[in-house]
Amino acid sequence: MTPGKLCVLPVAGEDRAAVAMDDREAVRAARAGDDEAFATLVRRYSGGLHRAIARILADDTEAWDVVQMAFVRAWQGLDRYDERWSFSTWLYRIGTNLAIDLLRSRTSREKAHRAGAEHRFRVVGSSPPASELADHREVDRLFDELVGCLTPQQRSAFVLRELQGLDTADVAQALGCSATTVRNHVFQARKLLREELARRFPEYLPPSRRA
Amino acid sequence: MRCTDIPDLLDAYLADSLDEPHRDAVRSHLRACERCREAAVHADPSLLFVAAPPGEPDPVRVEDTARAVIAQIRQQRMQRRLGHRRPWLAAAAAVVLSLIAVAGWRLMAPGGGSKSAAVTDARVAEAPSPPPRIEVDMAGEGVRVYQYADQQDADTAVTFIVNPQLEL
Repeated sequence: MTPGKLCVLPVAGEDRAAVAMDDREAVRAARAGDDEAFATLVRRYSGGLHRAIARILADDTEAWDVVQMAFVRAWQGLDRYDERWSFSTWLYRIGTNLAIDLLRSRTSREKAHRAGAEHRFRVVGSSPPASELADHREVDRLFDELVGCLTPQQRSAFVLRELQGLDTADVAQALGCSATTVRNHVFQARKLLREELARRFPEYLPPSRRA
Repeated sequence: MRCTDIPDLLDAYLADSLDEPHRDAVRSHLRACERCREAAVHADPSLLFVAAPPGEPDPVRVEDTARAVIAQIRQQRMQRRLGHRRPWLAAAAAVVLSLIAVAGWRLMAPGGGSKSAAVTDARVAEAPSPPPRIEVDMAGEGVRVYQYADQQDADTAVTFIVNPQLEL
């Protein structure tokens, strides 16, 4: 992770340096007991964090629980937070680790439930061409169906790097691995997603890519 | 970024050899331009997920999350104050409160008080009373209610209202 650098998309359109300063001030105030300052951080980053966690877990509802837990953990660890790093990357690290732990603890019953959801999705899917897939909910559902083919590390690396736009060093920091490993995870994830998409949902590919 | 720039940049994007500003620009363009999105998915179908415009977070869920997080934080802070940060203070407070409660209970008990300590002591010796029951109840966020009561005579209950913000 690069000291002092900002990386997360939810603040697009704002001056990121100003936001970084604002984050640090909010963290200092929260350390001093200002709950409203911490609530500001929650409001600023919970949407983006939820987007990432929801795609890693393939579950929008459960992701809100993890987001809440991540912020409480962050508050508990505020004294350990190093202000040289961006608050958002630190938060993503906490949230991603919680999501990975949850993925690993999921039971076979939950997997069976997901298999049922896949069946329903395929029956009702309208199979629009890729060019018309502008609705993020449709793409999110499709991703949720396919992401099961990835390991927790692969899906986390792909989501943080490709969907959330964190740079490689930040993803490495969040996942506790090297930048090279992150690139490998993303490369493998892209390959597996490509193959699964072609195998299970070829109708979503451009005609020229269909087998 | 123009549409004509995209084909040249896509290969570099997929090879992860673009710098971050260009990478962000390619991603933003794909999310906004349907024609380039289709070309990108043709180049690599996994870009379907990268190029999809992200949805806006539900403001109601965001606000609910903020409230829930702050509520948990306040609860944990109060628990720390009462238990973890100054356990000796909490223990001392508990002892003091217990002594006051026992004294109050004995004073308020039938036949108790200053009438005759000897008679009271004799009665206690004949039929020892069980220790007072201690109940702790949360009454709203800022106040705790401690109630000490004789298990056989609820009328002798002594109630303390404590504000944890006063650090006991």
